Amino acid sequence: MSSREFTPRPSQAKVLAFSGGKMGVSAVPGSGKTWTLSCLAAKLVREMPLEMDQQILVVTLVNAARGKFEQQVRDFLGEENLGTLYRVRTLHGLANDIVSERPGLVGLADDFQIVDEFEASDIIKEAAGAWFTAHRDFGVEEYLAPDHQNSEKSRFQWRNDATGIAGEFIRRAKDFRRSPEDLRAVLAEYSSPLPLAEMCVHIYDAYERGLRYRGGVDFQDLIRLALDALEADADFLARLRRRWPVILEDEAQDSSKLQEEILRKLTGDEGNWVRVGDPNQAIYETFTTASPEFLREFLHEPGVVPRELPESGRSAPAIISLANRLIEWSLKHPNDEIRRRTPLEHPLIEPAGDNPPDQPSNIRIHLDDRMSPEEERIQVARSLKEWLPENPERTVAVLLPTNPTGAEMSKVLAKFQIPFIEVLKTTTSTRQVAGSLYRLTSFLANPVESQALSDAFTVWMRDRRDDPETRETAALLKRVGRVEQFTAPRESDWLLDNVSRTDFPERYDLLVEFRDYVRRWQDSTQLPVDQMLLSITGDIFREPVDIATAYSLAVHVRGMFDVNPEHRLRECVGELKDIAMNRRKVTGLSDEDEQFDPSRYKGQVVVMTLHRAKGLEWDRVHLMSVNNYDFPSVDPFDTFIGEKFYARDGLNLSAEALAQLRAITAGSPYREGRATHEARLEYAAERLRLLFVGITRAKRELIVTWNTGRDGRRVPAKPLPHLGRFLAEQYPAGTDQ
Amino acid sequence: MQLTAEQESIVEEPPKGRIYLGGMAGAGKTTTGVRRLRRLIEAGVPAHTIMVIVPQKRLAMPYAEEIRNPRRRAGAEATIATLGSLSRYVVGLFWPLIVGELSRRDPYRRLTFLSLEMVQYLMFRQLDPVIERNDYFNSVRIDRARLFSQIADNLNKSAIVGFPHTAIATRLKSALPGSQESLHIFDDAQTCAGIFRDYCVENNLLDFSWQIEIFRKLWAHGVPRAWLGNRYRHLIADNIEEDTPVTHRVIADLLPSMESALLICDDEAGYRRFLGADEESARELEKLCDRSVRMERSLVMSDQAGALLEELKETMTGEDGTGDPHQTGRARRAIEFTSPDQNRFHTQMLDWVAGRVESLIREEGVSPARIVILAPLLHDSLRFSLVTRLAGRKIETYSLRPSRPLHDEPATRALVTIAKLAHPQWEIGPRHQVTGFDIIQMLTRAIAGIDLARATLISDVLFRKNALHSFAAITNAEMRARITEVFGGLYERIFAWIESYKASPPETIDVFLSRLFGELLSQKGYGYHRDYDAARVVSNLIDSSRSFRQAAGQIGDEIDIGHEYMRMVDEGILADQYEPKQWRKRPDAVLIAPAYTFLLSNQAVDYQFWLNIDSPAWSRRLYQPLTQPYVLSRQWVDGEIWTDHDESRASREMLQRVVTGLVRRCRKKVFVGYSRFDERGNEQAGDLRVIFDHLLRRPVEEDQLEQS
Repeated sequence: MSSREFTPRPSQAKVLAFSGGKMGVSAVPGSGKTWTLSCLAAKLVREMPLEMDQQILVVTLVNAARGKFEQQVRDFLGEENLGTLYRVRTLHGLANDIVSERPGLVGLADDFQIVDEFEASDIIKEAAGAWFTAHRDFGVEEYLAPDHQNSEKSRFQWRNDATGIAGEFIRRAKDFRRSPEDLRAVLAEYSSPLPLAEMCVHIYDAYERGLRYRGGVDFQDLIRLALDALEADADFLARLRRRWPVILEDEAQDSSKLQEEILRKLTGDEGNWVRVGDPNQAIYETFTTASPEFLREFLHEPGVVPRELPESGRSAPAIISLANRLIEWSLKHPNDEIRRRTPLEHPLIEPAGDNPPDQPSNIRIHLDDRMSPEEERIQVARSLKEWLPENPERTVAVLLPTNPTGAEMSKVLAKFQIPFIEVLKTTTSTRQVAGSLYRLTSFLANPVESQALSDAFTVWMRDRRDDPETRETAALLKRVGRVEQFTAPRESDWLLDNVSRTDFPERYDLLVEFRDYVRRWQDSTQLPVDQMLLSITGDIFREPVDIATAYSLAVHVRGMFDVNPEHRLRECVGELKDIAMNRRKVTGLSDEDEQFDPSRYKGQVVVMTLHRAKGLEWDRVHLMSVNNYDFPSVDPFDTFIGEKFYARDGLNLSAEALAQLRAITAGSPYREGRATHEARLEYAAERLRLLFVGITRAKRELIVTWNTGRDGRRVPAKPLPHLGRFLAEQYPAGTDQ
Repeated sequence: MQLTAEQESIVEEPPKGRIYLGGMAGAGKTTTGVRRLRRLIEAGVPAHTIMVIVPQKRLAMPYAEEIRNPRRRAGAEATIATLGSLSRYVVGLFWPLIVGELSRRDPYRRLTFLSLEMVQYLMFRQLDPVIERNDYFNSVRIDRARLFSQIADNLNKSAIVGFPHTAIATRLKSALPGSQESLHIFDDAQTCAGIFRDYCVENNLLDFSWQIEIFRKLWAHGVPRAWLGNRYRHLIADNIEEDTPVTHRVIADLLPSMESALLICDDEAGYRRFLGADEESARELEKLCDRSVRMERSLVMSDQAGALLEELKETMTGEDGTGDPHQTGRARRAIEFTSPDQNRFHTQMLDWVAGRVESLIREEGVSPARIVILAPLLHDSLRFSLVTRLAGRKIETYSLRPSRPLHDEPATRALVTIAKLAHPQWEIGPRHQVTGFDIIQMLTRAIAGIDLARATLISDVLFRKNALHSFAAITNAEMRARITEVFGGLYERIFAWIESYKASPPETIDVFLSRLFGELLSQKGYGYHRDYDAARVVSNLIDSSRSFRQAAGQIGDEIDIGHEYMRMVDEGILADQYEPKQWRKRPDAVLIAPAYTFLLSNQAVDYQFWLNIDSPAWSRRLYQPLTQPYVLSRQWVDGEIWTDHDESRASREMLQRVVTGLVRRCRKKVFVGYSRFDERGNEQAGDLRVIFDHLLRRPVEEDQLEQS
């Protein structure tokens, strides 16, 4: 549907009638909330008497949604200008805007560095290592189970995990706006010793010193400091309120308390604020302080006009029924404690009337197929191999619970030669660019290795890499042996000796040309790292998006080198490799990063995590790994990702550390083990919502599979048999049980 | 160049009396000043009695060129001075007059003038331990180099403006909003400034602030003032709006004794405020002159550029009602936006710039010297990308850019590596130890013609345990053949030179570097032989190390100066400051510059490319948490509070000044570079984009638009 064809449904029209004040919109999946909100933004831009320096502010949760919004508002407006009367930002982007405008208010210089998650984790790791060195006894004795006390492996693992635990603790402490000094003081006053908190506060302190030394802030700081800046100067706040007379917020159910507070400050009591969200799709509770409760409470605040977008035109009726069935089941969840948390709630989704039709067996739940993870992957791949050629105009996604399982799935798809696009930590295209740069710089770091030379050649020929001639030439280069006799011949020239100019004139000329490039790249190693990468970029990339991505990678690596002047080519190669291998998250520039549009990938399989899939839709969706590990229900036989094998009494150390943090900040008592239990319930509730999100991504077909896990002991997720039975009753052709 | 009647009347004025010349940029004021200098000399005024005062060396170029003019007769020359050079000269001559205010310990010890880098180094040494010990600045996030530069900046401002350096924190705390907790950083900064000043006083070390304070004391003393007043009889001061209150005081005191004076002030500039420039105290000088002249007519802007300036001004001041569609149409003809198919990515915008520059030169016959490419900030990556894109189109460029760290210069790094190898006694820590890759880079730079693969082989085989080994140690004939005897021989000479140096007592660092370059690297067969650009960098390195040694020697601490120097190079604190060639205009090349630097370079062009109009840096002052240029200025009234209203007003003013200043220096057209994503992939929304967007929405007369 193009923006020009958008005819609002009555419920959408009620939202579009917004003319001021506060409005809360509860929207079901597929209700067209993004369209509605974009249309509202465009309408306000056109109709409000905005001054030159005023903007309609649209706030989204993630970058992918931001790009989509931006495009839709632009389409709705259909004007040729520079688009400064509206601004679409993620919440972190908005916080960055606020802090960057008055950095001095919060103790920052204008060129402050944003330390990304990877670097932050490195600093914490260093701090944790120093802590363990200084406190050899602690940790090993306190929290390891007796049979793991003398295990080197367990000790090592515990030290490793401490980085993650401290990271969680620090993030939460920042959400509570508590400094290390603050926490040290309250910890000293606390009635009983809290070893985890003590360790984490110490690491937090060292981490903050590390950030200060680098002149850096992390993502959590951005939010906290934005709020600090708004509180520090009332005039500044007033100016921003004037600048953004209306704020439209999407995915409001995932905003954290602090993020909500920023928007609350920016709108003030008299401001105009539309919050759209779906508490049933709140899937960031375990990572952040976000909670669906915040949106629910907002909807009931005095002065807030509540609206609903209950109709969905996205999915076939059977898929909608299945999603609704999951809501009903959760309301009667067999576990009392989970049920009391109301993981999912009404309203149920109403078909809009223009939904895709039901087809025979358009939902399949493979309940009785006991498969290992690899068998599950193969089964899905086989199914796709058959389906794709028959449905070249349809879209399809494989959705998985985690990034690593996504990467595994991609490998199998590659093995089956199924075209796919992987959108995990970084997108395929960003990684391809990083991968090409990695291979080339890797050759520059190892200029005497034939394999590296051959790889560099393949990169240089990337547009024709699969041509037999390219492969043959690459194979030939792999056998060069003394590489310098090709790259910089003196007494003998490998090229003259091994490639006949008369028999293979094209190959000969190609290699002469390649050799010239190699020399240029080798010369460029004398340049500062960003310039070296930019030089190479000019020689190997043609597409604007690749060049732009390579440019941003060069700037990224240069930033890393500026902070660490001792870095050399090897570190550059390592960084590019990490990005290429998906171990490192960087924001890319391609469409997949900016505004992922499934319809552009017809005939290909999209591999994605369930978290990332929110807001998207495909004709066919495979939900994988729906077992009791990834979707637990706190049954006695369930195991939990946060509970480590070496921990005493099955404690979830991360949850316990956070509970200790809550205890010292609130001055409340701490009871060991309680937080572990609470974390299980919270996780189980959130995973139910994640399953709901997964189901509602499908337009026409939904295939659900599960696996027995690495230990072969996993069973289907608890709701799955129930949904299977429902399906068998309502749509007998749709289940294999 | 033909002068206007207005210019002529000032130039031809007899060498008597004091003239204040105000007006806008592009009206021909500096040309008038330069021609006045020529006229004075032609009229028989002895050149050595003429002093030209400018705020910074770069602004002296037109005068320096006039003085160097080959048509001129030989003889004594006019003096061109900045506050820095004048104060240094006066302090160097007259300091014994106030010896009582110098070091109590050793008052007659020779004064040492400190470079900026030396100040950084000494602060690093003196203050870092204090900061660590006391947990100072725990609520600010800036790296150490920036922290020290802000402490130095505060000291400089107190000296330039003329308030006691002990009052810095009081001023800042009383004027800036913030909690008690956040304001304590100013106390920390005050303590550090005090420690550093005491250290400088005790050791007779003169950082810029202490130099200016001594100069002020000497000036108050009267003798230097009388001496200067006797020596110089004619004064020309240009760009006084960019100069400091101290300079204005000096000019004011000298004026009565001058036979003639010409003070030139740009009404809409003030780009050096962050460095202590004070337009208001500049304008006060007008009252001390016998006559005032204003030049209000642009000799630069075309009709369209003039219309563009009016449109932009109306937009920026919010006077939209006055919009004239004809004017808007003419203004549109003076701007061109990035084409829609090239405005998504930053790199596409750069391609558009390169393409448009090429078509201007090739298709429209525009001289490259009439084109400038401007960005609010000119990072290395951006500059490099532009230079390579234009070089690919065979278009030459030159840049005005800030100096870059010495360790970024490949020519420097090879010498640093050899210096480390030749001084094992430095016991360099793991962070900056020589790596295999350093050896490879050194070899590819030092040995002419060696390739990366052979340099890698040498490094792999002969660099072990942080030391090089003799080529003779390779007994494997195949390996020797792969490296080749030629390169092996050249390598061996480097190895032997290092070994021979190690066997004798160590030299001072500058002598070491000179010997290394002279005896080895500049010889035939080595990479620096006849590479004059590299020789310039090395010469700069040697100069820098010499001044470091001299200053550090003055401190008298027990340090290995060579080691300390290399540490500073490794940390990126020492920069290549030498760029005289780049200050000169090049007739065959396109200029690439930061917008502010261009504004201070006193030149106009036909075509300007404004890059990254989304960047907030176009309108945003430099934010530093430990300093504040407005609060530390002369105009600041005690007891006032700096509010957000002041902040946004300052931002607006700044943008107006930049935009006005640039358009006034543009004869024909502004190309507006815009991309949705900046170089890091972020979407910015700076005020300049808002202004252009607004301009695009203004109604235009159809006929005017068609023409555009």
